[in-house]
Amino acid sequence: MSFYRAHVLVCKGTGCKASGSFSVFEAFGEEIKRRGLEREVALVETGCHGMCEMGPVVVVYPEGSLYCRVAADDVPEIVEEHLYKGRLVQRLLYSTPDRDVKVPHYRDIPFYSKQHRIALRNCGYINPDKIEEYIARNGYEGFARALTSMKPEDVLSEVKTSGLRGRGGGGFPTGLKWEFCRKAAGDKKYIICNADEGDPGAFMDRSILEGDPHAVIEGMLLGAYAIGADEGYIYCRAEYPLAIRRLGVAMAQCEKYGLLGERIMDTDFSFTLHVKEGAGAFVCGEETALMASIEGERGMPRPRPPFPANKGLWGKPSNINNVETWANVPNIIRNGSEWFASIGTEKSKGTKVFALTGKVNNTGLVEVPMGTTIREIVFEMGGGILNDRKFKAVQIGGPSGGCLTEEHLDLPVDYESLTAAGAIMGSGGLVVMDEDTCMVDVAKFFLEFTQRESCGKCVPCREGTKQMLLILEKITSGKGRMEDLQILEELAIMVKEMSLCGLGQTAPNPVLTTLRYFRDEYEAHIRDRKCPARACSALMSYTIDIEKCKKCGLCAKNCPVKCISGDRNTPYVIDQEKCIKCGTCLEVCPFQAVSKE
Amino acid sequence: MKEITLTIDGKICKGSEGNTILEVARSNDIYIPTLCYLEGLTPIGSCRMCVVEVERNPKMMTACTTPAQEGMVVHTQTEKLRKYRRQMLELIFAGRNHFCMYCSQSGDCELQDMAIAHGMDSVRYPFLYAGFQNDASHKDIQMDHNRCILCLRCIRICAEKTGAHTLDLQKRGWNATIVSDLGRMLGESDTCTSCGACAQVCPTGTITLREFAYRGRRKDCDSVIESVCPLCPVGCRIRVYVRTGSIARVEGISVTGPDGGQLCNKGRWTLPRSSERERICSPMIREGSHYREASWEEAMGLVAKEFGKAHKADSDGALVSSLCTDEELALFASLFRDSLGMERLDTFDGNVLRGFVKGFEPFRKQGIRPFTAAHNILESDCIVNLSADPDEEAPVIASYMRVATLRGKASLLNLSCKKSPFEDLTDIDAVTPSPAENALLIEGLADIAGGSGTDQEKVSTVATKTGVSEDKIYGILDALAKARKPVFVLGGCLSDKPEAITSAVNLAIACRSFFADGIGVIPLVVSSNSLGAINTALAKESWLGKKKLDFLYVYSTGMVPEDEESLSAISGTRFVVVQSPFWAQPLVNLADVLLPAPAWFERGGHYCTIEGERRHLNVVVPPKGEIRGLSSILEDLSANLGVKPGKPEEPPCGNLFICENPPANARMVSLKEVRD
Amino acid sequence: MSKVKVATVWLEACAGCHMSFLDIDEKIVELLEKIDIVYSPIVDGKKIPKATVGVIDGAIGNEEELHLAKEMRKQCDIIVAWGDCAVFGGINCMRNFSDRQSALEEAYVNSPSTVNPGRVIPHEDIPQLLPQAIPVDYEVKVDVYVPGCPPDSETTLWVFQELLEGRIPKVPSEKMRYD
Repeated sequence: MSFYRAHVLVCKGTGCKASGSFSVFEAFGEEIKRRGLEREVALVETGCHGMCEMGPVVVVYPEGSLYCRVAADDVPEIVEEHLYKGRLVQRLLYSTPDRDVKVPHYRDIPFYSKQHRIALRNCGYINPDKIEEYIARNGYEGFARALTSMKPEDVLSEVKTSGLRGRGGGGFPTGLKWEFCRKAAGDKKYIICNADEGDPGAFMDRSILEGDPHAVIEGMLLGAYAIGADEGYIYCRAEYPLAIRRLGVAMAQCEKYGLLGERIMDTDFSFTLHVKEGAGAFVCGEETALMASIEGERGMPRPRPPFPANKGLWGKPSNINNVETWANVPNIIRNGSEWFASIGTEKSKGTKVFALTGKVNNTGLVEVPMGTTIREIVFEMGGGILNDRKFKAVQIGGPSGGCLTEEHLDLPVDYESLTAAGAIMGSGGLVVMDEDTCMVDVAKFFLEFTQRESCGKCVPCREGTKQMLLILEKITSGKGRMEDLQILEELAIMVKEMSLCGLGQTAPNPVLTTLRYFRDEYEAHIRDRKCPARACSALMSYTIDIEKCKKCGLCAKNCPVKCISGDRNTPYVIDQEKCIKCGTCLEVCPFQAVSKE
Repeated sequence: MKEITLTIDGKICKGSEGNTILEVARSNDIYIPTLCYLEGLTPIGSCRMCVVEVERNPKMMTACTTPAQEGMVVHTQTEKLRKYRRQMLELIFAGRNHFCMYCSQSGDCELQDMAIAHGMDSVRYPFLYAGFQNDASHKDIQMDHNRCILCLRCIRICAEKTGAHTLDLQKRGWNATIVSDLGRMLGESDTCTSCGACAQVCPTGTITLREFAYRGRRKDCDSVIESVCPLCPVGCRIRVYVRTGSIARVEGISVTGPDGGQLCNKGRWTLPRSSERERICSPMIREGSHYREASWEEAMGLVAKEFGKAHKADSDGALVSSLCTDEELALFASLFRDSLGMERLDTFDGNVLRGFVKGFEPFRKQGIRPFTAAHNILESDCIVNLSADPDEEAPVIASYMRVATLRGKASLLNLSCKKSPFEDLTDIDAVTPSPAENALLIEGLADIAGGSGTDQEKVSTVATKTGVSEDKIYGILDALAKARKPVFVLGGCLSDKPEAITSAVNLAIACRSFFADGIGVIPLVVSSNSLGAINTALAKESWLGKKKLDFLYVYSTGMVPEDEESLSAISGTRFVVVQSPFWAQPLVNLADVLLPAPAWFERGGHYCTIEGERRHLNVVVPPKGEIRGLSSILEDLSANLGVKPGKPEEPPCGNLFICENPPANARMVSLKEVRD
Repeated sequence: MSKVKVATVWLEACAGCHMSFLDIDEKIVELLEKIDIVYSPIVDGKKIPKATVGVIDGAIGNEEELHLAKEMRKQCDIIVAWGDCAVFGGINCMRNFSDRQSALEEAYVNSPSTVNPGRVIPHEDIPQLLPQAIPVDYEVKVDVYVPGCPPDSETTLWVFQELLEGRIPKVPSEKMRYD
């Protein structure tokens, strides 16, 4: 057993990997060795810390200093200054955007100070490839206690009392869901983890799987024990190779420790776990489609009833939960349901992980207690709007969710209030938009996604989303008519009510919420053929200011379609008919004579 | 089944526990529109037309999949639902090519009917003109993907009833289309059996049969007659559409039955095409190498004269087809054997039938019915193919075997001289070099299975004698031991060695393969009414070729080729009378007198089918002109021959389906009984 | 009581719908006592006059037909889209599954019975083909839809009778057809 005077934690989550954290990690390894500090300083690779905007992220203990955007070249300085001389490297510390003040300890960084990390407890702290580190942080303690001194009904009852609700988007009370499955007739039952995470831009589940796979495994073990299942599947999308690899390593270690397999901890409880990779379909995140996919069938949803709790995988009772839901479970059993129920609001207990993205300064993962307001998340943790632009809206719940506006900034984030406002909690995607975002374009963007991902089984989703998308394309290219808005809204309402599965039922949400809160933008696109946010290129026109034009001809020379005419004596003019709105003239004009509106 | 009560549209409706809302509604005469639902296929709830509002449930539920519950209050025709249904129909019309005026299915299309019923007089969404493929690669079945509404009925019937699972979906969402075999055109498919079931269930003009296109909408047909297909022992029920006296279309009857109304490649096309074959319209007498028309008097006179001479010299005989109905066979037997005292009466393929009779005889003596209804294959968990080629002999049996194996997870074993016809589905393929070894294999297995424990010595002996490896034999015994309800499908060629048939039944008994109606054996007995023929016209012993005959009366339905032995005997006979509906070669050329006969669609009667029941044929189109019903011809003949036709006994075929002794009482028999 | 003025045009059409109208046989005599056909393809009129009922038969396939449809909307109070081509676009829409140029080439150059070595597609002094053949209501507001190819003459008569009674009819399911 060795003791170190310092620990250097380098984030090796996918986000930081993309910014080069792997080479930072190697650089640290070399430098520490070169300076002879191997016996004093421990180098640890961890999962995602969450503040992905600032990646690669390096945290040094015991101080808990967080260094941002660390490059391999910065490593010698950090080792020299911080590890050798004990002085923080100021230039790499986090600084708040508005006051430019350096924050030495990451606990004080608003991004982290407001968080309450339960599901993300170990992410950024431990090396996910080492089960010992998970155990050292009280991992499997809850499971061991449950297996040896609690009855399955007691485990289930704890989860029920805790008030945990499904974190995948549905928000269904988890304990109740487990109970349905437990009570279902049959000896063979399955536990499934939905790690398909198809929402574009969502990476909560990925971070948990990459940073703390054992949390999910322990959660599933507890679930299997409570429900009476002996086999489980983790359905992970194939686009997460790192998560799949880490799961494989974690599962192998569990088997070695006797935590998976036959007669776990010498009791009658056995549990085998498999990982099944997805194949690139968003619709397979839907429960019944996911089960069809595991069975080897085409991933299309099935009508419910019968519900998976009674007839799921291969016709047997099955319980599906999302990654984040499973990750919460060990904490509930270890700390007790009362502890969990003390966090959050009356109807929404615990915390929720959000992927904060869009036009904020600090993009990344945050886990906040339910009831935190949107304002706190966006302005305090997120550090406010990028480039000091004005806040316009926030999209919650990904392509299934809805938009909320300035009037909702003080809305507490919990299932009920969000639904009442017309949005949904969803899986936790939170996209911040500023005044330069066109809300019609946002609706179109999300609808493009859901329309492409529709499986094609039912008429409303298959045909309805296509027609809705066509209307949005008409509107954003300036060909819309006022009647189209009524047709669009009627269609959206029908698709929402009549679709077979969640994909179709929620695909119209972005359209419906933007129509509700930003109808004037739609009308401007149609009536005035203008985009108020100046984002829809088909509605933009580029013009040259005659006063400012110095007749240098640079714009005409660079125009890819040669639609600008003029000469040394005549100010240049853009032919609007031929203009393809690429914006090159605006970029190259040295005199800012070109404007777009 | 517990009875439940619910309220639908204000009406109190009674149903049984386990019914869906749609089933309860239908049994109470309440109409709920459906497109993708078809009774007999698994409901999938994809078209959303049957969506109903259920009180106290915020979600809209599809009536075809939602189980009905006691006390439910359901509304099927609210303002909102009507609006939504109309929107969805307009979406469907706008999505692909649903312009009716140039579609072969217009007037016979469920989509069109539904749109008109919902008052769709315009489409508010822009038409999309997608331009999907029009797959005309198959010679009989055309698939125009532009007309498809993705109801997925074709996929379901091909998977659930035909068992081929040729069709499925490719791509996603709006681009999804039906595809064959993981990406082929239908005509290039390896698995398609060309049964045409997909076309039968297609609600629009997507899958059409070229044979029937533009021949007449179902509504326009003058009559729709139900009958039975004469081409194989299964005897599928068919529905024949007649328009202006010709057959416009033939379909299988119902998707709810075990065979799913799939018919097969033979039934669906051979039957209607046969109505266009050249008919023998009047009696014809041979002159040299031509035939000349003659009157019934002249023809009958000649027949009577020749018969009289031959009968005195005891060199007369009669051959009838086992595609004849029970009534026709009884008439023949009554006239030739009883009234005329003709000893030589037999059916075509007589030796095959005699083989089966001989093989089954020891069990009949026990009062046991040694076979079961063919659709019981679907209940089985282990199917043993004994030298059968079901795709050729009885395609619907092949479907049963595929469905039981693929969907029911039954194991499939092949014990035959040829490789298994179900290559990818077979668990153990035990091929013997010749029929003799095959018979020994069955005998050996029956012996071992009938004993206690698995005698290793015996296994080794069987392996040596038959050339099948010990591993395979152990595998077969193991599979049979595990099975709760194994079935044994006997191919027609087994009848060459009746003892093989006895061994097969022995094996079935040893494996305790007992069904309510008999032992779990399905004999593929060649023709549609072979079972009926066994009790009436089949000779006890073969007389073909034993003596050169002077007179033969031959009755053939002309629908299937006659067997070699019979043809050879006919060609060696001095004077031959052939009665047949068609100019069926080569039989017709061997005749001295030709008499017309009613075709399959011009007569009624009964067939004893291997589906375990006697099925009723109906006259589809009455015979015209000189073509007369058989009984009237035979009356004429008897008059000419100076005998009374005699009253045929009630065809005794009903007894084929009675089980005197419960199958569980069956005892294995020694092969000595069969060998002499 | 003055007669109701009725104007009819056929656009991209086969004239079958107009023929079907004549199938009301002797009832046309009674009808003509109440309506006055002020413009129709079978009479000699150059300009569309004002009318109460405007019946449009056929789809809009070229510039001229577009102009005619718009004129009808301007001059007539009630527009009736008559027949599948006017309501849905009909058989003219077969060319929409491909593109305009291919359709023109197929008709004037490539079809088996054409002799056109110069590959000349007529384009001077004739109305231009629109990119797609469209139903009437894409360009012009329609008040009454009567699908059918052609609509039953009984249905047509019924529509006229309803209009004469002052109602805007909606063809009920029993009277509707699509072929």
